[in-house]
Amino acid sequence: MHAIRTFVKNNWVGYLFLSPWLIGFVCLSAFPMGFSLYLAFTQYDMFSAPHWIGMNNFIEMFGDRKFIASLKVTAKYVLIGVPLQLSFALFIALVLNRGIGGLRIYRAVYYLPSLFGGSVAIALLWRQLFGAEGLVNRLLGSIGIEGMNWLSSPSTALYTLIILTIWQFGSSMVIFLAGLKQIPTDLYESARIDGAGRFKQFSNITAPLLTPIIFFNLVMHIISAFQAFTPAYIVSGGTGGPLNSTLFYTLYLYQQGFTHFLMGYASAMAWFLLLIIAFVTALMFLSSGKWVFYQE
Amino acid sequence: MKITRVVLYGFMALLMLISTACSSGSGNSSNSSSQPSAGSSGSVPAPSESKADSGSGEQVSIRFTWWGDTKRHEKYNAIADLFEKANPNIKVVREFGSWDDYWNKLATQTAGGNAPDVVGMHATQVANYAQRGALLDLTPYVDSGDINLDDFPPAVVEVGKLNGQMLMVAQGVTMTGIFYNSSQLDKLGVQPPDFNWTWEQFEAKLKEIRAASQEKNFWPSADLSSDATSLMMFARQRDKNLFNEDGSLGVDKQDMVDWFGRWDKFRKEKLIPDAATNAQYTGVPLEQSMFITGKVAFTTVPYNQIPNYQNFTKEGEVRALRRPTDPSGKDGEFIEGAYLSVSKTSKHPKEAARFISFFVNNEEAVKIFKTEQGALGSTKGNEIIKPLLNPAQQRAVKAIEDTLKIAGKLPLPPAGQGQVNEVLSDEAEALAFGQISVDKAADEFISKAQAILKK
Repeated sequence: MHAIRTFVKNNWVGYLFLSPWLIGFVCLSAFPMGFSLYLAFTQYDMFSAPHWIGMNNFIEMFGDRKFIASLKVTAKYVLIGVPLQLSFALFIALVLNRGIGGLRIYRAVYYLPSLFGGSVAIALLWRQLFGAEGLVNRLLGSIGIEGMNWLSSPSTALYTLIILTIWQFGSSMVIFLAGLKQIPTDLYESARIDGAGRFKQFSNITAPLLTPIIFFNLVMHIISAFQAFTPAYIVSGGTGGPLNSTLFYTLYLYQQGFTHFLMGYASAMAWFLLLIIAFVTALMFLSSGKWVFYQE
Repeated sequence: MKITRVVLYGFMALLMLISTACSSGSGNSSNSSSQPSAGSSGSVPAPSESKADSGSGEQVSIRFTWWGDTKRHEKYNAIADLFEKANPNIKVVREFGSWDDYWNKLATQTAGGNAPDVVGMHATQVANYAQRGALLDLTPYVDSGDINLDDFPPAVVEVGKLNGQMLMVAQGVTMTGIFYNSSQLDKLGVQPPDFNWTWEQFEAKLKEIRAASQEKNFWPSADLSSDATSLMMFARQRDKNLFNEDGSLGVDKQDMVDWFGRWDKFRKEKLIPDAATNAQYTGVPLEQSMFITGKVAFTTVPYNQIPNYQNFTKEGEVRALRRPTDPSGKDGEFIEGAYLSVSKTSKHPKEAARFISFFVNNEEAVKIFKTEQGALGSTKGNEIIKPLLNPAQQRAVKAIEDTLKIAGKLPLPPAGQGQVNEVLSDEAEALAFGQISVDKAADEFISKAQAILKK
């Protein structure tokens, strides 16, 4: 009791100054999260009181074919989209880092897509680009190839969304550029004197020294790719179609919670997604000791 | 020392402000506006609600919410303004949005115990609210005369009832039928069908149109295999309902084999669009839809949409027919439309009830509203607006009046209706893409729908 009193006496001013953030955190993050954890174990339709059903939501998930489909779609999106996006960003960063004129302009222009790439407007634009009478098919038509409807064919719809994420390479490119600038130039000089070619320089100097940056980008982009929602929602008109080929995890979660009022099930899905992301992130951190190289 | 104290008091004040803002769940919505000039994006902070009880001339504010587009918002705002003028002590705070946003928001508000007093209701959505006890029984207000339904035909009053409770009042009554564009059929040299036509005549007409035009990006009819309303009518023609009174599934596997099979046959004969084309047009705005852009000749739409469709049509008249009928079966049509309800949590139910009565009866109000949601519930109202209607609106009213003679009432659908509709469209799509057979689609629909409805 005494210890608590001294703690309060010594620290209350500090917590007071922290209070604007603290209150926001408790009311807007901690409480809703705690409540959704409770709802994950209930049947809750938002109208009547939640009804405790234990693990049933989680058990039901694994018998739900659409849930499995949404997991697959999201995994595909993460596994294909993120590596492609990062490689493309690194490639552009390497090109820009070669000291071409007007770097600042290029940097700003390439950064633009990642500023508004997640917006509704861009998703609508995408829908237009890849539609049956869209720009992509017109271009293909002009060189004599008959296009198809990219968005409404189950085999190609997801890939148009992956192209959309690759196009938003700007933010990781800027970080790569900053990382490249940090690599001491004398390393390259001595390598050149030793007769190392461009590829050797990249694989023995650039790549290892850039691994902390690659690691950072990888973690951030994998987390955000798991949570992607807007492009699929807009491009498929909220359905996740055709044939569930763009049914992202978050989109299915949204449908369950807000279209069918299965808030308990949706909460369980949200917590399951958190577990997946935590697991994947932990795996990456564990593996990082093997391939991430810190200079110090 | 003094300065520290001032700073500390400042923080205390801030803290109180934040914590009260954080804990008060009820009350003012940010998306409300009381000015008709403020468009859908305008946000004027709502005035603080007075906690005064009904009557007594004290200032009361009620919240009214609806779905629609900009044109509709203008009409609803004008009617609410009229009501405020006639009842200076009642303020109508307004919230509105597009169809999808509207239902998401209303569900969240209702769950939070913060539903608006007067809510726009729809036949396809009411189950979610009524089955969960979120709507107020209006019977006492009808008895007391706060809601005047004297000019409503009994069938229209009946549609708003569930288990003897009066839950909704019709703003407009409508039914869905089949639309076509007169000039499109003229150009193809095809005679427009009769208002009454059978499934056989429907199929023959589709073939006639296909023979008249082999164009690649054109089909005689839209694909209705995934349309729940169409399936409901089909079931009723067989003297069944998609959903029984007790909330169970009313159709059996054979019905679904016949249903999916019919559309599958049409698809193979190129009478309806292929799956990819269908997917492409999912969720596009009306002006880009297959019907408006002339890619299909027939589609299904509620009759009250005739004027709206006509607005987007450059050439020809948008006309409506009944659904194809089954000569050996029953009439499938049932009454749909838009309604007004009062939420159970309303603090001012009497004022809310009076607002509804004003909306559906007042002469000036119905003159503004016209056929926005179909023929009016009030027969007197329909007489008042008749001379004011343009040709498209007159066609809508004519079609509704003709169909009203044969339309029945649907049992109130169960809470799982939305999920069953989704299963229907999933199965129809898988069939259209050639992933499953008609038999499998029917099987899966029955088993999944039954599993949902059992919960």
